[in-house]
Amino acid sequence: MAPKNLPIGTVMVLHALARGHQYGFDVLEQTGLTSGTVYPALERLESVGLARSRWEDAEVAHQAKRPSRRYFEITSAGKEELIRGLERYKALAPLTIDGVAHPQGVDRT
Amino acid sequence: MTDRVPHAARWTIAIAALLVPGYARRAWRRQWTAELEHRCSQSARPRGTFRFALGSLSHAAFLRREELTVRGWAGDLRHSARALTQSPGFTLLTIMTFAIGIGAPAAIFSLAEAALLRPLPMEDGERLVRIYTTKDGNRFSVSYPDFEDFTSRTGLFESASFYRSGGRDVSDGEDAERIAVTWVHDDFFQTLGTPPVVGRVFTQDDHDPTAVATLVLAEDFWNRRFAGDVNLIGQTIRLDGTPHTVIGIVARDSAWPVDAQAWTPLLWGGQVPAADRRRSNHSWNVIARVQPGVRIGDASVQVRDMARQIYAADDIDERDAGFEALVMGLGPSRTPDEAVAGFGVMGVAVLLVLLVACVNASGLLLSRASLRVREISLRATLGASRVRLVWMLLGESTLLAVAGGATGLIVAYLGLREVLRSAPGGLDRLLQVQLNWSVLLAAFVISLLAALLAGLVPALRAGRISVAEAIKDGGAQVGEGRRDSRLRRNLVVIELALTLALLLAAGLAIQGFQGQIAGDPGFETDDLLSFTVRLPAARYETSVEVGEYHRQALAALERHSGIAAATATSRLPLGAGGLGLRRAFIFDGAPEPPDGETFDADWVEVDASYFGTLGIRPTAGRPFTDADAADTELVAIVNSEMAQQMSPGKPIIGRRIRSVYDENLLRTVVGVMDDIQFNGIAGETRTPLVLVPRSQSPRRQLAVIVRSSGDPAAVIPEIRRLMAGVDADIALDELQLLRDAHAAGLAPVRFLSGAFTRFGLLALVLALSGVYGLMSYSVSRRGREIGIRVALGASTRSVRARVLREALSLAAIGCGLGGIVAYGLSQALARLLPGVAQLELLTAGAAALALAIAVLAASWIPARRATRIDPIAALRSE
Repeated sequence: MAPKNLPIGTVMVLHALARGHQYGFDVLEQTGLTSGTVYPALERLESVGLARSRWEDAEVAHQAKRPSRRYFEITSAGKEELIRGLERYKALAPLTIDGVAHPQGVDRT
Repeated sequence: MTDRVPHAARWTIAIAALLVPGYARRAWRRQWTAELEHRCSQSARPRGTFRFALGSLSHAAFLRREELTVRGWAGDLRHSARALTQSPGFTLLTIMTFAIGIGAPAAIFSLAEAALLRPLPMEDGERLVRIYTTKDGNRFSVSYPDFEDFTSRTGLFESASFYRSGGRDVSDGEDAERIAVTWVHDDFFQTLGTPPVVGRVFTQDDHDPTAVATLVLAEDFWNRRFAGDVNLIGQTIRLDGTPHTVIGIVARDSAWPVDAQAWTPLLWGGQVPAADRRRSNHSWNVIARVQPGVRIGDASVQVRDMARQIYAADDIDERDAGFEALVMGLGPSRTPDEAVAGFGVMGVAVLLVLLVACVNASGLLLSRASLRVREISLRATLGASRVRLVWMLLGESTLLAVAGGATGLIVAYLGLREVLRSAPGGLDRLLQVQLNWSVLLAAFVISLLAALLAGLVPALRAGRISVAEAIKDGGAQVGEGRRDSRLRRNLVVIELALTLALLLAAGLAIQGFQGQIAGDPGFETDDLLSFTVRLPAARYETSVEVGEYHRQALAALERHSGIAAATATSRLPLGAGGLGLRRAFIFDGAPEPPDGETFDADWVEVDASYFGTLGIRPTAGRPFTDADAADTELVAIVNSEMAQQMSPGKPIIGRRIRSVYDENLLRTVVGVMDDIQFNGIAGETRTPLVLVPRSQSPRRQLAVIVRSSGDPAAVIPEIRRLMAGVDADIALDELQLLRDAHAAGLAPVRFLSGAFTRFGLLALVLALSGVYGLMSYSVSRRGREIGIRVALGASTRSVRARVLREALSLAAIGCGLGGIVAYGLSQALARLLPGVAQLELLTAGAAALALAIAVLAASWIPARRATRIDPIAALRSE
């Protein structure tokens, strides 16, 4: 069941995943969203099948002397949904308000 | 977690972890530990770590919401639906079980809804009421002083009016026809809120005694007799020869009374006739519209209190003491009290069917749950909480129950419509069964109730499955421990007990009904026809004229070769119509009430030819003869019941009786006749009767009985022709075979008894399928045990006997319990339906035996299957 009209924060998270950022904290840094937005968004994306998660191999984590991480990646359904989402928010882009240029798109990198 | 992580962040995670649902908690902690670790490793002085950790709270809240919300549950439901489609046999069986269990109460509810709950389709129909006086639980009409007090002194009613109904002959244009006319007081249609379809309804001026007599017609009568001719408005039609101007047409649905064909105003013109100034003259039917916001129940209490006060006063006649009052919705007022009792009985019956179905479905769900132990324990292992497992299984039973309920409702609706349409007696018009919101809602609520009843035990049971059990090999065996099979056996015992109780109660009710249907009327009815006529007072003024019509009519009929005999009476036997009069008698010289006792009897005026036409003779004394005339001694014939009541053990012939409140003339009893079915119900075969010669009490209303010499239906047109020859303007009403009239009167009784039989059979089918299911299950579960027995040399016969013995022991316990329930039920039934016999031990024993045999038959196939178990295969399956 693909949800209709993902909120912009979720689209941003999906966008970050699509560009290969797999890790919660990583996504957070890339998008500039708060942790209170990113983690539920990741959870939600997984529950509706737009992303999937896996646990980092315990062996690898052990060698790096840290707990194993939960990695997320975008699914093919997620990619389609992302394109739809970007189309939708792109419509907002060309506006200028009181002569102030609007940042191009939502991606700040 | 390393020491680099600040305490505040750590605590936040620990608190947030409490919010996370159990199944996800460990993974969640791991994830956040890793995240925090990562964040803190980025720099030596991690700023904002606490703020970052706060995000864990919304993450945890998100997971918790996910589990609790409909989405989580809906996911489970979807899963359940998929799982159900994978076992279509179980699904279909369970849905059908629910369909039977829910369809039956849904059917009865939709009947009750149509009869008792639905307001009439007038504007604000739920505010329309009837007002009755009541005494000893019976409803009576209202006298004019009561009407005034109840409606104007209480301030409860926006408007009120009253009416009385009767028959009048219309003879314009085509054949004469008797129609139902209602005489109405001021504001009648205004109270009802009935708009005219054409023309207008009555205004104050129409009630003026000097005005032209006016008439409002019902739309269907207008369509039928006058082909919906709009030009009829303003024209004159004659009722009993008196001209009335038609001023308007009203729609049948928004008019009252339901069967009225024409309305005409009472011409009181503000004056109350002397007879109606008496409080004891309870002769008006009162309708009223309660003020907005007034509840009918509250209005009823207030009016009742007022009636109590009025009738407790000193100036009230002895006979009137004890009257109370009742306000009742206009729609429900159409349903007679006996029918309401009938609904009560049916309600109990269908609840039993529902219970049996739920118990049955419970057994089915239980065996399914035990087959799914692996799946359920897997879910438990993966962290599904017990609550969630129980919810999931309840969701599954809800799916099944709602599907079953929908199926049952549709079948019940179509079935009821069919049954009602084929039922005579206008049942389909009174009971317009609809699939409306309240019926749908009721069916839905019943379905949910059924889901809970059937699903709770299996769901709780499954929720208790331990993870450890599931991990053991052969998980499929685990849930079928001794506890489970005992539970299933108990369910089947309950089912059998309820079924026996229902069958016995149904048997008793049917016995009661059969008595009413099949009772011997006491005379040969096959060739009898009957009809009634009313002679208009305008043209038949004197008793001589009435007597002349009577003599000519009978002579014309008797001359016809197809007619063997004809007679006239005041009231037809078998409840087929005519004038019903009940009078109170005492012996000559006996004290009058309140000191003395009176004996009530139906008063019947008959010709001398009455006995010959019906083919009965007085068993003692003499019949009436033509010599019994207006100027000879006043005589009477009583039936055995009346003789028995008035003069037990002593001859009554020769003694003189009189009806104290009415005729009040002494009559000598000259004969005693056998009891006949007079009011159409065999339970009342013993209605006390007093017969008097018509010649001594002439009346303008005649009920004629004709005995044909050939096919009775063939003489119907002949009778019309002959009677038109005597007076073409007199309508023959209810010209029909007497036995048809009788059958029509019994239609509701037949309907009830048929429904009861069906409910009993449904419960039986359910219970037997439950037994079959249990025994098959038990045989398949104990395959190994049986295999060992066979391997050790048990014979086929002993294996079979073992299975059958188990079934029989269930039947025995079930029948024992069922007998107790049935006893209680029969007591309740006897109170609700007079004429229902007490439960007899022999009947109960026979029913129990029949049930036991049916149980044996249902376990026969599983028992045979047990004998075919191959010991080697059974042992190897381990």
